[in-house]
Amino acid sequence: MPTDAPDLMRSSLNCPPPTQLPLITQRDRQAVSRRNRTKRHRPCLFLHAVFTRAFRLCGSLSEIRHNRTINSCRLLICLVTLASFSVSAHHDNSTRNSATAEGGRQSGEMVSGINDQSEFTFARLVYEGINSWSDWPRWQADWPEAEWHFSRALDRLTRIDTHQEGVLIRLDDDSVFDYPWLYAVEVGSLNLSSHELQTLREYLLRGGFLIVDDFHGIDQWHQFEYVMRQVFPDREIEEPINGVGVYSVLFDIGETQQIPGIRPWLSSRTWEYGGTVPRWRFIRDDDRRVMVAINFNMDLGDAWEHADDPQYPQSYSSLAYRIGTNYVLYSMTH
Amino acid sequence: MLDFLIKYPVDLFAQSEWIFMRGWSPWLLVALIVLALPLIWWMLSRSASSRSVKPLKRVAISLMQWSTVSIVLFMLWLPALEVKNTDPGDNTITLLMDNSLSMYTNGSGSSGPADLSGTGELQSEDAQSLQSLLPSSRLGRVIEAIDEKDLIGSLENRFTVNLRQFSDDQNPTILPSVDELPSAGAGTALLPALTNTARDASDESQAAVIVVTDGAHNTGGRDTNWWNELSTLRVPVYVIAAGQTRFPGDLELDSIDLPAKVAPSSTVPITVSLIYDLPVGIQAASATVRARSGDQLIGRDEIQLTAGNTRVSHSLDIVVPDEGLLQLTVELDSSFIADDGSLISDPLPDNNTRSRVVALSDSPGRVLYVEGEPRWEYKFIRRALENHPGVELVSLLRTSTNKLYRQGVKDESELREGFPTSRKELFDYDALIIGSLEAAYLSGEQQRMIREFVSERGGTLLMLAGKSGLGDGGWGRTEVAQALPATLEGQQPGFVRQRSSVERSLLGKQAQWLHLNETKGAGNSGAQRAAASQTSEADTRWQDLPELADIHHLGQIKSGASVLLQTRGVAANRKLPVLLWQRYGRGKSFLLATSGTWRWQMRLPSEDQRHELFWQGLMNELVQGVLPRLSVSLDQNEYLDTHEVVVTVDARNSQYQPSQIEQPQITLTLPDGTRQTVSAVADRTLAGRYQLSIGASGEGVYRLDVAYSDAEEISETRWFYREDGRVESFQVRRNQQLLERIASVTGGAVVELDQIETLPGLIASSDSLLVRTSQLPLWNMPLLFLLVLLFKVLEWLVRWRSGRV
Repeated sequence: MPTDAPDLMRSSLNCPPPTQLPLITQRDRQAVSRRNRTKRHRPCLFLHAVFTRAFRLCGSLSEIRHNRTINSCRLLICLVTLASFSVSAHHDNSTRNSATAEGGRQSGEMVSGINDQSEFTFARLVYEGINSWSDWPRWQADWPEAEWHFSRALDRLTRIDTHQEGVLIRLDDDSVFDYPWLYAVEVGSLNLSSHELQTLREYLLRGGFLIVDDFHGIDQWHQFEYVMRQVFPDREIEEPINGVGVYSVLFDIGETQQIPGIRPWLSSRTWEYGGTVPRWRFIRDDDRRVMVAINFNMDLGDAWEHADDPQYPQSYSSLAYRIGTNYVLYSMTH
Repeated sequence: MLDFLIKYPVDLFAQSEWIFMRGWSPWLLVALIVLALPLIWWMLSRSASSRSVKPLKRVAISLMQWSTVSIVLFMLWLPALEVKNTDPGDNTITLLMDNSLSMYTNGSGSSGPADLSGTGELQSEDAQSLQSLLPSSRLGRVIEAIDEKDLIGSLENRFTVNLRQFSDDQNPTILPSVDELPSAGAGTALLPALTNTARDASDESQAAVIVVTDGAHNTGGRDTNWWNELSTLRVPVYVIAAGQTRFPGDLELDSIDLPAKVAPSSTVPITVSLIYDLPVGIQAASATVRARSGDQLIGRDEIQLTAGNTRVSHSLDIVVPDEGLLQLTVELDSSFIADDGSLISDPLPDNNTRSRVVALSDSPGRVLYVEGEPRWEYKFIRRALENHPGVELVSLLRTSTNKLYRQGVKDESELREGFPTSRKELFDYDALIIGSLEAAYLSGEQQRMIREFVSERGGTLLMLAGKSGLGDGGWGRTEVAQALPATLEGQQPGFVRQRSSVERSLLGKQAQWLHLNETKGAGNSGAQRAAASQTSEADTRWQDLPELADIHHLGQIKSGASVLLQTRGVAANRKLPVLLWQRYGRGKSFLLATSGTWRWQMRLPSEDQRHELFWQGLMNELVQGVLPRLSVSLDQNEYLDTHEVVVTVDARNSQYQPSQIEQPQITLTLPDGTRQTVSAVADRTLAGRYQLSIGASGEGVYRLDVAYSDAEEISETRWFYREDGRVESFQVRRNQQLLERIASVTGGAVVELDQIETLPGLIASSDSLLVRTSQLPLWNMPLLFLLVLLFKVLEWLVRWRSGRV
């Protein structure tokens, strides 16, 4: 779920004053600028989202019932969706181009030159993907407070030389290979070009580690699974019961527990979009090392982001810190 | 007439030395002569009779008188000639004939009977065959020249001449005449034979040794003691050089180098060294080398040969069998292809094959890696070594202030308490890597143990750069710094996250493992592999490497340290060392001044293996040559026509201190399966060392099982392979370098066959002859008296002309 504006969050006691973070200020301005621009294209994006959902729904149904009528309907929806894609793509490109022109740099370049002064940097994947019910890029969820809070916790709990801010990185930026740990949020909306798919595959095969987080329900799962099938057509997504080093590399994490986002928690539930059962899934390499950690039906990002929010339970934030720390340590040891 | 005047023949003056028998100082003579001139002038000036003489004539008179006085003074000092004479019976010359098989090689390169296996000496039919080859052989030509120029007769005019012959015996035997040589020997013990000859005759009047040889020293070892003794005996050795220095078209397998143990099913690089001689006009050629284990081909490659060079070393990858014993045979094809496509046939194919026996051992070297903070280098080092059979990496990572994370431990108890606190626990590892860990994290005792791990245990230490590593971690003030190849003071902080390109130094380019050659299986395209092994390819592989993520500035490089890698850019007028090493005590230490090689892995395609090859090669360097508690070494890599095998056993206790509690139990298994128990003798000069000499006569594979008990039993097995009739097939061309060294060390000379008539004169002029010294007085030489008379007459004439007589 989208957060409040970063400018507002910075007034929190745990965040440093703006004068110490000139780059973040610039980044914030760019993000807000982008968010405002995308609002202008709300109808088109909304239409695109509706058709996309309808298309996937039909796809799911056709797998259950091979109904000719439904398949015909699917074809029709597909054509309409294609048309909407072309419109939205045009708007997306113009948005991206204008953002580059206005901000002067793309997201991956925005913080280059400062983050190689620490061993570990929280690298957030920037991708093209929007949500059905809102109009801003999904990669921005929980940003930048999640990495601020988590990076400081990591610095405090471990001996990792951690960068305090984090970096935004795109898969079409070659410098992604300088950050062997990558965080992607709301991957139920993940949408990658063929070049980005190839880069992600190569990134993981070379030893990179990807964590995906904050996606819920069967539809979002299907979208994520669809993307990962393009990255690794021949690798299974596993759901081991036990024996995975991720759970014990620093903190012994026993029983898995669903970590909710703040919105559902304020609505007195821990799940979203029907995703009631938390799933901890993995994709492994040829040597059985985890290279993609999948937090499905959970929102670690919100737990990090709202660690300083009195309304959000401390126990969830604490567990999220521990899980996140284990992910980082696992990626730096395996 | 002149001889009468100077009393002795003119030649005698040239060969003799001037002396004064009176024993007074010659400088006094000179002083008196110099003083005499002003004295005479003063006396003439005071004389009333001379004062009226014109000045010019007074000068002439003074000079006449001065000359007379000088001659008289000279005679008073009793001048003499010291003459050194030699009598024919006073000095002895030994003419030593090399009667080994290689001396029967003729000009075209073909030698005597090829099959001498299992004998060590020639059979009678072989001997007859050799005698028929003698006239055209290199030995036959020497004998012909000796007879033709009557060398022995010329020598006997001045010296007593002894004739000796030798081959694989260290003690030469008497030879009645040069035409009565016994059967040829299957080896050449040149240095021992020379030394023994010089030693035996040293208390006699041994003037010189003349040795007829081609320099094919191949038995008796290359012990430096031979050279020392040859030098101290002060008997000049004159070498009549036999044989030719070139055999166009010959390929020779000079040596093969490989570890004493290899892991089963692994791919091991072995170094093959060739000596070759391309025919005139051929600029380049390609030779094929094959490696076999029994009948199975386990490696094949093409080696590029270029005109202008005569030696080449080549790395050949062999695929080790799964089990049993590696009975390795490396062979060169007997013909090779020139660059113009023509086929060159090797005139000496017998020297194209060598064999080894290597034990298979699946116990990899154990490396302890202690890391003070989680970082990417740690992860990617572990990944690079995960499937590497030669190394078992045990790591201890300090994840948080009070937590350690262990990986690769063999059981739950290993490193349970963190970094080892006892010598035994630490010394169980073969190598130690210390990453970004503050020195203060370890106690002073643990730091001392690390230094002793290198100096006493003989292990290898690798220290990595890091925020808390090397000088920034305070290691420069610890005992460990003594073991490192560079000092750690200097720029603070030394560790900077600054991207840096890296290149190999000149020494690094010679290191085979730094070629980053990707290992391929046997039977690949030879030309392709040969091309890949070129140095330019290795340079390209390094130039293409991404930049390192960081660099650590070191202090001064210590003398004796070798830099293998350095930064490509120049900082502060020098290239920063990146990888360097040195020997320290029984072990060695490395410094890697970066923790950013992980960028090679992340920045290169996933199929690229350069990062893995670098770390696997470096780990091999760390664990290879590390001394085990019980080491069994042999005096030679291969035993060709050698009947004695010297075995050295070094035993150490669990703390790697010399152990001499009891004798090692040694069992020798002969090629026919017979087992013998042999005993070793403790070396009194070196604790923990035992030596034994084994007499080996049969051909085949020998096995040595050594067991030793010191609190716990440890054992070691070594294998060796012995062949007969092979050694003289190698080094067939004249070893000019060895011959010149012999002459240089002893004060002799190397003489070509067409100059042997100069030998008697050369020997006669040497300092080693026994001489008689006599003194011939010169004061009564008629010339001196005549000169005195002449000067007095001239003085009288001058005075007479002046009317003052």
